[in-house]
Amino acid sequence: MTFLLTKIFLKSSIQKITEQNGISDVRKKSKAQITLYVLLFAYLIGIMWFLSTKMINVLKEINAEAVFIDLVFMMVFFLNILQTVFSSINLLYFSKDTDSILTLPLKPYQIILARTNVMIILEFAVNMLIGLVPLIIYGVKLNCGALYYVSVIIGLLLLPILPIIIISLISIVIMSFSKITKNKNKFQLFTTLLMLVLVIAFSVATTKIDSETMTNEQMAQTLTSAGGFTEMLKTYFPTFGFLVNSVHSNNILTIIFETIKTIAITFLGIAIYLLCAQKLYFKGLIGSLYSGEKAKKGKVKIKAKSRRLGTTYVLKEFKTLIRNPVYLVQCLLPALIFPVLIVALIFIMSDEELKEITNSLVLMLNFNKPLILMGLVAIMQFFAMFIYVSITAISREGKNATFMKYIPVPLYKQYMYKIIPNILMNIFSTLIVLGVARYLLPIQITDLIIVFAVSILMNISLSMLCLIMDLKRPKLQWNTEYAVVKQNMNLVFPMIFGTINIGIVIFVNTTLKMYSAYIQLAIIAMIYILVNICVYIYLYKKQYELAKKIM
Amino acid sequence: MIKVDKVKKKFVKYKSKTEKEEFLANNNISFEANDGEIVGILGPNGAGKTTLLRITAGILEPTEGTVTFDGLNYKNNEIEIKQNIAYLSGNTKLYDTLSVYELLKMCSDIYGVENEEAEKRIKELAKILNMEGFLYGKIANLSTGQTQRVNIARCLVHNPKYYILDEATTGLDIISSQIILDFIKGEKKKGKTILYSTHYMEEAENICDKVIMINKGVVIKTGTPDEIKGDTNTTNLRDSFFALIGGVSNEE
Repeated sequence: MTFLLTKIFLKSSIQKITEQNGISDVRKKSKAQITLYVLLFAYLIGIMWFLSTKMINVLKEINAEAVFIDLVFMMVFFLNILQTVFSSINLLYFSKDTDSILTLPLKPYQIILARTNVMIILEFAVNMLIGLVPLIIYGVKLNCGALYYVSVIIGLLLLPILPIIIISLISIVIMSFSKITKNKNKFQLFTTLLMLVLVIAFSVATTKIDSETMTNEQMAQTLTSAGGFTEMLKTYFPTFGFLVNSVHSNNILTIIFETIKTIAITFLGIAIYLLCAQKLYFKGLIGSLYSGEKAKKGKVKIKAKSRRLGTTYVLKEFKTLIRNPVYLVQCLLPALIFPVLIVALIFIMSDEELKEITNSLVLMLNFNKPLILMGLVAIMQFFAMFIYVSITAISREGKNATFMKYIPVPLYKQYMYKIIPNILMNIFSTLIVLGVARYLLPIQITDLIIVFAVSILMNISLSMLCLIMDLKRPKLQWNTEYAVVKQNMNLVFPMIFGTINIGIVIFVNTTLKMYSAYIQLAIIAMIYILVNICVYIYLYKKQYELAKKIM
Repeated sequence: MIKVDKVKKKFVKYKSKTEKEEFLANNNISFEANDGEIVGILGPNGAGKTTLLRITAGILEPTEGTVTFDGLNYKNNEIEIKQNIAYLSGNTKLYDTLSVYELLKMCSDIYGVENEEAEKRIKELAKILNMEGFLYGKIANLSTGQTQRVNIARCLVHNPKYYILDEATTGLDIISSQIILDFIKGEKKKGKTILYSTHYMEEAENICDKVIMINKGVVIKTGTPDEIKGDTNTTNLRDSFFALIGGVSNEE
């Protein structure tokens, strides 16, 4: 039964993703579109290849190439945690088929196991894409044998299971109290935020514990020696250490032994998880279904201010984003997580550590100022990849989208209003990063203003291009907001455009390294002013054509 | 006056992944709706009523033909026309994270209604449409009937001249339906032009001055309800419709 349920849940998830994104209609797509997708995929692989090769070479110079495996596993591991935090509550409690599932003669553990299986399978897919490519590059560069590749695949497959069940278990415990809450939306938001805080607190705590118990020398040794990172995480996620050890090992017996240990712990975890789920899942599920907010009754007390059209429209966008927990957590919050994590890291660092980092950065600034300034621009583009406001601007409207077409506001103006929240979120995260940069480095204010201006120019183009992609491939037929952000392949576009932006920054910096930082930044600014003008003209001229899918 | 002139709308239908077929959802449709007149667009599901009204509301562009409002067309006077239109459909969704008041205020701002005037109208509408009890409640928590009343209020807030109402009473209980029908009659008295699509023939018979019967994208009969009944020798519009299409079996 669980297998059948998993198959159904998985099929419906994949079907939604493929059908609503037109992937199933490959034959309908033009050759140019297919070529574009192939090229973009090749570009992403190329970037991964380039960065991996560079990192492996750097590590090789200090005979610490094995650290690369740890780094990739760490990255994949944290990605799994983040992905689970964002998806577990929604998948377990707020799927649109919850009503119909509850009427079936199923035991809680069957439903929860099937839902968890879907999460695990989807994360396997992500791990294969993100983790496998760099690890294959590592294997090729270091002439690793077949045993290495086998242990890599086993490692990437088993890695997400334990974090998924731990985070899901926390969700189930928290949600078992949902009956006592009166507002489903606020409670959903609260639980997701709480879990996010738990994950951040965990990562901060692990760093803090280690920084308190180890000397700086020991810390440096731990970080640079192979397996150093795994030691930190081993205490909390033992399977992580076993899997990394098995990838490092050349001995088949060690690999088998470490894998068996991982499987044993994972099974133990699953058993505890299912026991709790059996007791608590239905409690939370029923609570989440029937705890809607009641309409406020009250005296008519009107206090309104006259607003201009643009302000009204942008405010409407913000209200939709902020008041809906799914949009808040999935579209807005990711923009703040990374900058806030940077600030948190600075707070927990000891003075000596901070001084050490500052000194090396100051040295680099004196030695290669363009690299630092362009690096800041690139970091901002990286953060921009995680803002999903513009790319979901049309899809979020769902069946409301026709509203855009019959109100007396020109479509191109509405497009502009729709990208403003994306740009504002970006300005916010950019300001945090630049504040940190100013705190750590003696960068002149004028330099920061220039970096800020260039970043915003790049982000305006990213926002406009994302909106165009959403207009061209809107996902308007949905029943839960969750589908807009989780079953929407369009979300890959901010990543693609962000990566292209980073690529352009790297390209300008490497090809024009003989020129000053200002010239490099001026060239990027000119490129993006031109791009923005062209994209704006395109949006204006094609405003009706772009809205054709809104009916 | 709304004038629909030789409107055609072509769509592409995919029979399979590779096989596609073009079909006309509206084929050469023409009619006029005068000021102070309720014109009913009648026909079964899939007849092309919604497509026609969406074209009239400027949501869809016709493949051929024109729609004019007192001589103005979408090509040259889009914003001016939209400023005077109210479009309401049975499945219109609202921004459910907003409160009713916030939605109405937002619409007033979008349509450029002066602040004081907007406040006055929201208060009035809340009273007329019996929305005072949930004016500050979230739209997400309203019943279907309450949501549709909010939809009407949204249409009224800018005092439009033309109403385009697409199956506005579908799925509503009799009280909510009656509120909407009374409202339509009231607006007619004020000289507004109203296009009203429905597949409830009895409803149309009660409120429409003129009826356009559509089947498979083509106008099959135009006239007042009495004229149509007289021409087809029937006692109600339902029988008239079947008489015009040659019975249920022919439709199938």
